[in-house]
Amino acid sequence: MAARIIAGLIVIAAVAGLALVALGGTADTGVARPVATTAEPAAAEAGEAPLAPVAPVAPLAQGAQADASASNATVIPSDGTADSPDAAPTATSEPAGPPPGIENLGPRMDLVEIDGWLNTDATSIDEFNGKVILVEMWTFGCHNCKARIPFNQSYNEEFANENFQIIGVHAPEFSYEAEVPNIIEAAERLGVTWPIALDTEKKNFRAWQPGTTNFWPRTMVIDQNGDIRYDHIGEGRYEELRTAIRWLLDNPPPPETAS
Amino acid sequence: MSVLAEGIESITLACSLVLLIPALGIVMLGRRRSWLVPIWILSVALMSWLRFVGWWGIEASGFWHIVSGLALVGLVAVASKRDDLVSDVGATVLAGLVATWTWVPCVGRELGDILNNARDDPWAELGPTVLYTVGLFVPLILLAALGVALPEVSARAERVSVRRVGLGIIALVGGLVMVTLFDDLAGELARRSSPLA
Repeated sequence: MAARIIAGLIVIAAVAGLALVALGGTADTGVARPVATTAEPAAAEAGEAPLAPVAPVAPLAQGAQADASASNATVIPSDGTADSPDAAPTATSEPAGPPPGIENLGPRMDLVEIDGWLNTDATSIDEFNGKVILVEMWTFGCHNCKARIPFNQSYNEEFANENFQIIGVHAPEFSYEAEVPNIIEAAERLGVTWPIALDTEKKNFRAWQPGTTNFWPRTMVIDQNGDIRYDHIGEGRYEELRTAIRWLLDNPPPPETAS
Repeated sequence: MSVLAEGIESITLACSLVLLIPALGIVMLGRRRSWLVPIWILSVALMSWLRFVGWWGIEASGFWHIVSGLALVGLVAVASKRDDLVSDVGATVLAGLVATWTWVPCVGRELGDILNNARDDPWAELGPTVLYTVGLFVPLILLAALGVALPEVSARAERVSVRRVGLGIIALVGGLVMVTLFDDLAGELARRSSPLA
């Protein structure tokens, strides 16, 4: 009898948990946020400002930068820390040292055996040397990767006229994600306008994530000398990333340390 | 609690199918599921944590796919023949380890925090990893608890034919791992359940 009562309580708790997450999970848990599309931009955070429309993707050998002219309605959270794609930097004074998350993780690797590039004339990551590069390992079917896109769009717009570049390394999980027409369609639908390196065999996806822990999405920021200065797995810490990019743009490493 | 909630939400993600498919087989293994479900969850959580902290260093490819898939099929055959707790536990643990080994999670905020901190403070992330895993398998817990709470449901679920289907699912997982097609099966299921794509 006691076992049945305990089991009944577990059933109630499990159903309640499922119902709570299904009904209201997006506001409190920070997951399952709506994903912005070019047709219907959506706020990536509940209660935050909507995204401005972004330019549609142009398949193969087209300019990479998003149209930076669109104006966004900006919401600045009172504590300055909430993650919103459109949140403006709130700091007014230069930090004394590197902000949290910035360290030197050593030189980046090359992107090797890429099956092609979308949204750019470039054929190698080396062509972006000297810039602050945000490299994102992603695949278009990955929910959490899609959740990051509005934030990448906001960085792309905010830093459009600076020495900054986003590169998406598309590493498919499933076979349908490896088909180029599907990637092009998804990039257009999701508003991914920055260069996409097609890492169909996931060689770079694995090589850039040493050990056996390979994850989608993974975000790295490379400085002007080609060193990895920021590394983050998964969603979140968007404001930290924005601050890191800003700091790296404002504080380029001395050229004599160039690799 | 947000890590538990993120685990629950991840049930709907295509990335999680690699774990949810064999879990379905586990819950169909008859009355022993009351033991097997917690063992399954702990196996998945432990293997996930070992991978997250970097203490599991064997890459899931080639030779190891064949070995682990073959071992899983073999254990399922033993469990089918002996029909006892020991062989069921063996098959459950191995299925959990193998499935988690091949699992590449899509990472939300909470799991991201676990992963970003795991290498610096491994033990601190064990609890959150278990909690995330519990969330991921809430439907499994629900089904197992229903079987105890409602004997009439339990009677139906404990038919020999149901157990055979459960073992069949786990054996299929083993076979597909062996020929490195398990991910493709999960992908095809994800594609067919369109919104995930």
